[in-house]
Amino acid sequence: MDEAQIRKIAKLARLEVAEEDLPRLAGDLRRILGYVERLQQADLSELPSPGAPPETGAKREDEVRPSFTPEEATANAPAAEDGAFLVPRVIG
Amino acid sequence: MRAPLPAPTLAELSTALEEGRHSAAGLKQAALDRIAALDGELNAVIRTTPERAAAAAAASDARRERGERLGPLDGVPVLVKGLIGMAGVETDGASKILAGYRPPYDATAVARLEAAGAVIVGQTNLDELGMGSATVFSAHGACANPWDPERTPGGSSGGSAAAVAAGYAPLALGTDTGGSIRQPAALCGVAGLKPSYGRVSRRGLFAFASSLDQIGPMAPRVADLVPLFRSIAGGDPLDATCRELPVPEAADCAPSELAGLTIGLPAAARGEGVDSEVIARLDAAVAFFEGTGARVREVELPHAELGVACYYVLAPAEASSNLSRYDGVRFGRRAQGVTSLGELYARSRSEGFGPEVQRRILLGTFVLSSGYYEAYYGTAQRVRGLIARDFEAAFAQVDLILTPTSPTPAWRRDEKQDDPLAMYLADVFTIPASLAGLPALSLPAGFTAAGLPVGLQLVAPAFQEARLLSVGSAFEDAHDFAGLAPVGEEA
Repeated sequence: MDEAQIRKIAKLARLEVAEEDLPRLAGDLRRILGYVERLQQADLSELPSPGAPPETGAKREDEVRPSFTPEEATANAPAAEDGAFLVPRVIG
Repeated sequence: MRAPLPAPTLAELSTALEEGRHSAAGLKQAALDRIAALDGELNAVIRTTPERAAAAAAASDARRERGERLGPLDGVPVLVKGLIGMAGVETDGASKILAGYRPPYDATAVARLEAAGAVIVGQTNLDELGMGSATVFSAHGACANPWDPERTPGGSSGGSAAAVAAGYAPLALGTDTGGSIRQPAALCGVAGLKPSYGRVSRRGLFAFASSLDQIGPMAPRVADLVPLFRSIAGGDPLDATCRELPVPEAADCAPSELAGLTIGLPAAARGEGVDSEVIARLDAAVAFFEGTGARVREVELPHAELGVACYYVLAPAEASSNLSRYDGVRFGRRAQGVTSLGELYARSRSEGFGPEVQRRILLGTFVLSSGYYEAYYGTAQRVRGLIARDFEAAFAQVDLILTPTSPTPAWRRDEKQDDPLAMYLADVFTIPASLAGLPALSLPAGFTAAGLPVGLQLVAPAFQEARLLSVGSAFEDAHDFAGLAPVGEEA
C-alpha cells in the first residue's frame, strides 16, 4: 500500500485526498492490512465458498403502491426544481 | 470513588405514571431539564425533540385520563441514537454530509416505540455514521463518560450509553455493528442488548454494514431492556432481512433459575491484553454462577481471534458500498463552485465525511478492488463462516458464552485517537457474535478500584434473546451493580 495506490483507491471511492494526508493514510492502511494478513492463517480447505445470504422468504405482491411525491422526494436535495434534482451540466 | 445513585427502575416509573404520581408531560420536562443542566459537560445529546415529545406526552396523558394504557413504555421518556431516522426531524448521523437532512419517514423502530406510547425526547451523540469505538469522531464533538468526564463513554453508541448512565432518560436506543451498543454500555455501567441479526427492522436506520447492523435497547438495568426490546422486535414487510418470528414473551425474559445452566468460557476471556481488574470481575461472575448451581466450563472458539481482522475487511467493504449513496445530488451536503459531475461527487464527499469514515471507505474500496477482492473479501467471508461454525459447535455443549465486553475499562479521551488499529482492537470480544449474527448482552458487573464500571458479555444462540435477558436479570438481582453515574447537583 503506497501513496500511488491510495490515489487510485481514492479515485475509485470518489474521494479527494490532500497530498499532505497521503503518507499518514498510507501508513494507517498498511498497518490495518498488515493486521488483516492473519486471515491467511485460517484453514479454508473444507469450507465451501460463501453463497448468497439465507432467504428470509420475505416477498410481496408486485403491485403499485403509494410512494413519495416528487416534492417529498426532492425535499432534502441541495438543489431541485419542479420535483427534479438539479446537477451541474455534464454534456458540453 | 463516589457511590452510584439508585435510579428509579422502569417498573417504578410505570407504576408512578399509572397511579397518577407522575404525568408523561412532567417526566418529559424533567428529562429535557436534566439534559439542559448536564449536557454541557457530557455532550451525549445532539438535539432534543421538544415538540414531538410534547405531542407524545400529551397523547399519553390523555390516554391515562381515559383509563387506557398502551403498556410499560406508555409515557416514558426515551432517547434515540442519532443514526435512526425520525420523520421531519433533522437526523444527521453525526456527519457533516447529512447536516440539515430531515428523513421523509420514521424508522420502523421509532414508529414502534411511539406506537407503544414512548416519548422520544431527543437524539444521542455517536461516532459519525456509527464508525468508531469512543464517540470521538462526531461532527458534534466528542462525548464524555459520566463516571469520569476525562474518559471515553465508548462507541459508537456512546451518547445513548452516557445519557442513560447520567439519568437523562430511563431508556435509549443504540445501534450495534461490531459492538457499538455493548462496548459503550460496559464502559458507562449500563445494560445493552444487540439482538440477533434479523430480529429488529433496519428500515430507517442509516446503513453502515448491512449484514451486521442491528438496533437494540440500552438502560441502567437488564430488566428494563425487556419492554424496549419487545416493542421494537418483530418482522417488517419493509425490511426483507427482518425475520417474521414470534417476539419473546415478557415472562420468558424474567429472571430464571440458574441451576442446571451451562456457561462456556473461552480461554481468550482471561487472555493477553485483558485488564487484570476486568479479569477480576469476570472471575467474580464465574464464582457467582457456580455458586448458584450453574456449570461453567471452558469452550473452544478457535477462529474468534480472527474476528477483528475479518470484521475490518467486511464492515468497511459494506460501508464503502452503502456510502456511495452520498453523492451530493439527492440529499445531504453539496460542494459549491464545482464544474463537473466527478468533481461534485469527490468534493462533496471529501468535505462531508470525517477522517475515520474516509479511512474506512478507502479500506473497503481497496479490499473490493480488482486483484484484491478474493484475497481479502473472499477470504474474510469464509472466515466469517468458520467463526459462525465455531459458535454452533460451542452451543451444542453450552447454553451461553461469557466473556468480558471490553478488554479494558474506559480509557482517557486523548488515547487511541490517532491509532485506528488500537481503537479497532477495543471490539475484540464483541465482534465475533456480530459476525455470527448472534444476540449478545452486556451487563453491569461491578467497578474497578478507581470506580470505573466493568461490563460482561453473554452470547446466546440465534434468536434466544429471552435466555440472555432472563439470565442477565437473575445475575443483576443478586448484585448491586446497577445505578446512575454521580453527575450534576448530586455529585
